[in-house]
Amino acid sequence: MSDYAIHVEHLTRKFGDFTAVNAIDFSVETGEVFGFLGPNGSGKTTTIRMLLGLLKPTDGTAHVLGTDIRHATRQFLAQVGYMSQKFSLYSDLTVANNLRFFGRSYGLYGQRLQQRMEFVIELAGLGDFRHTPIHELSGGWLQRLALGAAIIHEPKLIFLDEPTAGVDPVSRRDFWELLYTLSQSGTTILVTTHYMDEAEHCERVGFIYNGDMIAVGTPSEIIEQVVPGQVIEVHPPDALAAQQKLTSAMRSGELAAHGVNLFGAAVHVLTTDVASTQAYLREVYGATYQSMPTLEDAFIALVQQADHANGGSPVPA
Amino acid sequence: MIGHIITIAWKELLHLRKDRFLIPVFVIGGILELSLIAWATGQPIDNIPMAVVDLDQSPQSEALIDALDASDTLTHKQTVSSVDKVYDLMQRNDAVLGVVIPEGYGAAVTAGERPSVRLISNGAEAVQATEAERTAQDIIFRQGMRDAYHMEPADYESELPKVTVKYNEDLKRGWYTLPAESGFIFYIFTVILASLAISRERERGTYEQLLVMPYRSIEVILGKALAPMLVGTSLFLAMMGLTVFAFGVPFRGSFILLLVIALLYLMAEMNKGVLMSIGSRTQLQAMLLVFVLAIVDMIFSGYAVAVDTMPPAIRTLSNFVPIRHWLIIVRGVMLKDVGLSVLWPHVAAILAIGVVYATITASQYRRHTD
Repeated sequence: MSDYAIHVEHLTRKFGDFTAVNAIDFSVETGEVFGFLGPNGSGKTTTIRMLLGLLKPTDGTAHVLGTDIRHATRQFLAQVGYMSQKFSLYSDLTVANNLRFFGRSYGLYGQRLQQRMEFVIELAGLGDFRHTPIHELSGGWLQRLALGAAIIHEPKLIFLDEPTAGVDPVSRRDFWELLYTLSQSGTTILVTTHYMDEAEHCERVGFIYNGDMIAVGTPSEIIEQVVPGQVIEVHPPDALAAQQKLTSAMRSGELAAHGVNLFGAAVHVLTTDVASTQAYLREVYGATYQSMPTLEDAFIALVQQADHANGGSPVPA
Repeated sequence: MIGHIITIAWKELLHLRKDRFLIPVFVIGGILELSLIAWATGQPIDNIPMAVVDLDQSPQSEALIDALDASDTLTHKQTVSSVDKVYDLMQRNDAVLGVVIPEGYGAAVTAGERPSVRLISNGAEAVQATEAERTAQDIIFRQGMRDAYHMEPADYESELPKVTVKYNEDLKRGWYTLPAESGFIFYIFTVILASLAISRERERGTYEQLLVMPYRSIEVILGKALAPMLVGTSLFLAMMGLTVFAFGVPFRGSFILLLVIALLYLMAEMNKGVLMSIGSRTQLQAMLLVFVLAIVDMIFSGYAVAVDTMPPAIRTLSNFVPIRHWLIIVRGVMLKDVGLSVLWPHVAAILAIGVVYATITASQYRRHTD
């Protein structure tokens, strides 16, 4: 257990009759970037809040940095960083004053505080704006500053709850660069996202859906397990009609595939029998494109399986 | 511990400094309010409108009416023909006192009697009515002594009760209202500030961040309390300065003693504010709570209604309202020059209320994260 930064067993949280988190198990190794994935309302934030000691579990246990989260102490809180989904900085204060507050809150003073503040200001690229009130800054900068504030005390573990929601793609990529840098210096990172392209950058991921942990592993393991084979992509004139048609062809056995998903204007057909599927699709739609399945394919397949097992309940909005 | 408290307090003061609305409103609003009250209550109650029904129309009755009109308190507004007309005037608020002089008044006075004069007072204007009645009775008495018995004041005054007014020798209303009102002003602003302290973080979404920082509950609460305390203490000093130097209310007791008790009092009120802050999700909710409780405070304070005249249950409850004790203390120190030997039960009450609020606040601080 000592190698785990986070070790969760049967963690459950109910709100009245509603089970937000249903007996989940997972572990995050020290130094790992762990992606915590799932649609909105699936239980990600509830789990994080339990792991931070903000919410008491209804059942099960969790150890974070060796501490039982039911007894989260100040010593424990001093070792973790948290960047919440909500805006966590004080918008009326300046960049420098926000960082000074965060630093002092974690017991940084004097020269050490100055060093760490400069480090974060540089990290966020806000050298010219240290005396600017936060509310005058734009999205990408704020995101980097919020991350910087969450790591000003060099935590061993950071929780990032949808850090890139609503941030442009370039800023998102810069942000992930930062995460890798942190990870390389030994920081354990648990990050939630619903951007599947981001999730592929994680060393390991966990899928949570309707409170259930439906898969945990490295992205390639999960893809291998859930969506073996390859993806044949076609671009029919009417993608929706084509998806329905191919689904029935798959069910009748006419098409040797195990998944037909809509991807915008394209249709992804998952198969292990690449040759015959490709031949079939070529005949109907002409050009086909071949690719490896992505985490998104796996996620869709997992959600379908879960819904099927639950009698086809719809995905919550 | 100290470092943490100072860090939170420093941040809170930064918020206040950035706020271009709150502090100016407090300072200007507070001074304006107190000045208005000083001005409005600084004047004695006088020129109360009086209507007269003179059924006698004799030189004696006219002399009485003149004597009444000559007082500062009463002004002879109208002479009407019947009591019903007096009621009419009262309904339109044109008269607070009616004086009915009976037929044969002049003859009776000449015969050496003191005939009864009827007074009708407008109870809807209770304060003015009481004053008018008291004055009219006094004048009618003196007029009777002079005209019926031919006695000068020196002849009968030795038989009247001797009245000595202590502490507020001229019964100036300002001496009563201003220390109380300044208490209300500096306390309400302090509670408002305190109530915003945590609800602001909640509303803006920064509360969770604060909760995952390695703070003890007590550090956050004390830190959050320090800024309102500073503002409250400054307001207290400003209000006292105005009350004493601008509006002439005497300060007879120990200022240091009052200052120390003021700090305890502020601490109790502010803990209440922080508790309301924890119970609210938004700043608006917190403000509404402050106002509801301020009305309760106003009633229980003994300022508008004397606590001794309240039913026993309410009187007991009023002991849990800090401002009730504060008003007794502030009058005691300023006007009566009394010290702790007299005031200690009230100081102890304030201290106890503060400790109770602080305890509840500290126990509630972490729980409300959902």
